[in-house]
Amino acid sequence: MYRFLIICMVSLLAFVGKDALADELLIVTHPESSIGELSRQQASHIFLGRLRQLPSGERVTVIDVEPLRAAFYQRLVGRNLAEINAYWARLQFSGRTQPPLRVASAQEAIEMVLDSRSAIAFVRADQLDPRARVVMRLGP
Amino acid sequence: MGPDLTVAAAQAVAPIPPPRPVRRGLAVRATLLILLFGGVIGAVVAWFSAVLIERTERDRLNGALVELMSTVERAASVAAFAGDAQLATEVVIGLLNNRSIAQAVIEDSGIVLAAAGGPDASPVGLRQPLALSQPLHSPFDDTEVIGQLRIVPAVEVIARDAASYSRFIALILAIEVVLITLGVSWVVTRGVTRPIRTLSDDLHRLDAEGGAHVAAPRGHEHDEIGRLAEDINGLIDRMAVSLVSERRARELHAAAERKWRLIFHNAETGLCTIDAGGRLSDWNPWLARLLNLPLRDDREGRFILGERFVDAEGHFAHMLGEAALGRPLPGADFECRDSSGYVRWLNVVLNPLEGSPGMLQGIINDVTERKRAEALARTQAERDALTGLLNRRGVEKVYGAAARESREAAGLCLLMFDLDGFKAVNDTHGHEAGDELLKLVARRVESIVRRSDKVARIGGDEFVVLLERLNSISMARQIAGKLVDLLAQPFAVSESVLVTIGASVGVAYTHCPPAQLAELLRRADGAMYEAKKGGKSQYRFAFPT
Repeated sequence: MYRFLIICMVSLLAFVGKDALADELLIVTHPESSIGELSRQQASHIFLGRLRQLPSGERVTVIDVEPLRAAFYQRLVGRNLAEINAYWARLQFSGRTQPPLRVASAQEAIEMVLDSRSAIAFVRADQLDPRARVVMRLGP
Repeated sequence: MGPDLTVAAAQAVAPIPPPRPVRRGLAVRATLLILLFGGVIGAVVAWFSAVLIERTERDRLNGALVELMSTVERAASVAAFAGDAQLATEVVIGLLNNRSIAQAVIEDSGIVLAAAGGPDASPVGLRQPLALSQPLHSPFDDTEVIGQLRIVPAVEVIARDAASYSRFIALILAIEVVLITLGVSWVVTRGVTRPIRTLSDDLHRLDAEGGAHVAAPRGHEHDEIGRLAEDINGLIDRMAVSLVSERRARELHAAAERKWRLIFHNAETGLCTIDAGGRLSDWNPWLARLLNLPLRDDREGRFILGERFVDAEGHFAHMLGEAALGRPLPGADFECRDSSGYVRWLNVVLNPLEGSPGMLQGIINDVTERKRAEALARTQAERDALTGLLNRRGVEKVYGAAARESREAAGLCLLMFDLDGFKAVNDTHGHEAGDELLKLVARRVESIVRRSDKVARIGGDEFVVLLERLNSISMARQIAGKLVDLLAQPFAVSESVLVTIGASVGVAYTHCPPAQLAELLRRADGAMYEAKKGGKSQYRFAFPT
């Protein structure tokens, strides 16, 4: 009986955990990037254009992964995609700030991150390339 | 009283003066007062409202600015978040389009991202309002403050707006005050001043003595002015009644006055007022004529009544004193010399003058005639009507006076005689002859005695001669002898009848006359009897007892 219960709990945990692990979004950089572990605020500052330069003086190249954008911004700042788009549209209309570079797939994003020390992007956990460095995890 | 009457009459017919011009009308005064009060109150209200308006205006503006800031907050937040100076500039320029804003600034973490407008250029003295600032939150995290939006209100503009608003209100107030004042002025003129003036004009034309009335101005019959008109009419009525009775009383009084004045002037009696010192203060013409006083009243008291009287005993002064003390004495007669120097007798009555303390009223009557009549009567009572000699009473009076006076050594002699044969003359020739004889005897006796001696007929044919102040008895003897001789001479009792009689004389001589004549008469009578007995036509002395 006890054993059965353990088995049940483990299997449930395994199921949930696998699902959860597969759903997790990770912010990734070049392994030699000067960006360290990020807080949620720091991450939002970077991805929404407030922080454009690193303390070292490097200009950050922010990369949006098209299929993951909605989930990512929902998890990062609790806003839906329409709001995020409106925000960028306002800045683009009268300001100078440019929105992040947009790529079509996580693979592409991974490549760009591995290619540039100042790039930063987000991918799903199951799309992670071990060479990239994870600086923040955003659970579901 | 006379002059007073004429003055009163002059007043009664004096023309009514024309209405006095009104210098400060009620309407003008009310208008000025209301203008003054309205102006003061209006100024105070305007000042208060100016202060209030400025404050509300500022509050209103602050509210508007706060609203404005929240309107642009979103864009400002985005600009600040993204550090986008371009967008921030757009926002602050947009804000400056509002003319109430002098300056707008967007800061990002203390660094000015965009600023527009200069510091407020309001004149010194105006309260510099605090700049309004609003924290800017992250568009993605309401808890994160990323900067602030700051705006400075344009105080000068606010003040100007408020001032023009206040001016507008002041203008409205001024117009209101002027209109209300004009309205009040109209109401006062129409409702108060004009009716009062109408009433006043009516009063000036009014024949109040004729009982005419004023009419209440039209439309004011039932208000205070109507009541005033009624009161005036009531007053006129009462005045008319009292005027009539007053006039009647005055006429009566004047008539009485004339009557009394006439009496005073024409009285054949002296009327005067004098003070307790006897000084005349007022008198009538009769007294003036009598005492040769001026006709005009002399209030200085130059004439003293008592000085005009022969009053050795001071009785007049006594009367004055008693009358002044309120105890008037009965009137008394005083001898006085009138203006022509004649002796007159005046009866004077003094009484206190009512209503004038210390003053007396004197009534003076001329009693000279009465006095003369009295004197005459007295004389007649002492005289023998037939012979004009003293009678018994007369000789007694004379003797009384002589006896009182001659207490000294001088002698007094009484001769008494009757006529021998008188009865025969009477019987033979009748009473008329007898009477004629008595007269002749009287004249003959008077011719031989001294002027100071007194001759009297005390009975039918009994005569007495009183000799006063005799130095010696021989004089008495001489006179007695002469008397006997003379009466023995014939008498012509008529043109044709000659009678001869005789006289027997009794002489009583004394140095100390008795009080009563009778005693001396008795002695003389005794001596006369002796003389008759001795053969008639002789005299005998009565020896002192």
